[in-house]
Amino acid sequence: MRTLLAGALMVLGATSPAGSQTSPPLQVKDQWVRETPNPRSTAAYMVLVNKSDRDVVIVSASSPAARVAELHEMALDGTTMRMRRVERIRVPKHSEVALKPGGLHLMLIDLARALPAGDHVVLVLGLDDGRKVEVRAPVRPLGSR
Amino acid sequence: MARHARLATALFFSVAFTLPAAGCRSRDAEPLRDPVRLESYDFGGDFSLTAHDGRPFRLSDQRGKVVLLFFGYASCPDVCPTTLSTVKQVEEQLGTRRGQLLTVFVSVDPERDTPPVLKQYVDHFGINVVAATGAKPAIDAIVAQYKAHYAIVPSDSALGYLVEHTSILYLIDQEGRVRYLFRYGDPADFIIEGVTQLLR
Repeated sequence: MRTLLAGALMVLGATSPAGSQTSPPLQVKDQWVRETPNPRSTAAYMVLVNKSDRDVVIVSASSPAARVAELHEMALDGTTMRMRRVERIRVPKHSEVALKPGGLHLMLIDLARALPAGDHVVLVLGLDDGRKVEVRAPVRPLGSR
Repeated sequence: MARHARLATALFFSVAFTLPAAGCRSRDAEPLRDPVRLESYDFGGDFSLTAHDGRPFRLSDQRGKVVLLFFGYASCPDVCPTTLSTVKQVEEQLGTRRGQLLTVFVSVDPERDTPPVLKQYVDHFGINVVAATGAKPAIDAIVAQYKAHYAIVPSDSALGYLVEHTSILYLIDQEGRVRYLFRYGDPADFIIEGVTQLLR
């Protein structure tokens, strides 16, 4: 399963009306999760690609590997790193938004176990139209950027 | 000519008033940019906390070693692990001299970062490090001493609260004086440049 699904993307539970678009409204690439020695929390990163003609808004996240997943943003303010929870992440039409170290990310909280590098984690993004986008992300070493 | 004279005067004053006071910097903790030119900062100094192995830790007991000091927390998703990983690269490149370098990681999340939690965290990096914690007033005093900043920020996150903190890596010489402030993201090569100036 691991290798079969690595990097794959699925749209689950499409709830839009019959006859509406069937292609994924959002593509995800370069996804990864930071290795964590303790199961308290870690961050997930990815690039969100919207090739459609409308904005896509992510309103939730979840993962079977964590009790809770949230959308967060950190920012360097002078020399202070600040973090905040955000309600949504908008990916404008025909554009990309990067979730990356030092910026937007998914926060995985209360993990079922510590995540060693080389492992894989399933991440699910909830869109404002009710669709869900699922990706499988590799766990990378602690110092990855 | 008059125009040139005015320009020269303006240049003189702009240079005169932007040069730092000779040999000593007293402004807030703001990193300098390359090349690494060591300074003597008038903030910092000794402190005592509890190390990740449960034993007392005193900075002044480390005299003779070069210290890299960082303020962070064990569930930090980004800045702390990447900084400690950069320190690992620094140690690897120092080779046989790595024993002369000690990294001190002061937790600014004393509620969650007990010594066992810190031990599990720093053991993962495989570096010569002491992760230190203590009562909040003691942490606050050290943060103020180093002109750093941290805040426990209430949040509706399932984390309960979020932590913001200074991302500077302080270079401290063998006498316990702050000599340079590295920025978050400074590469290992740049940090080695500062460390090796002190090892000479």
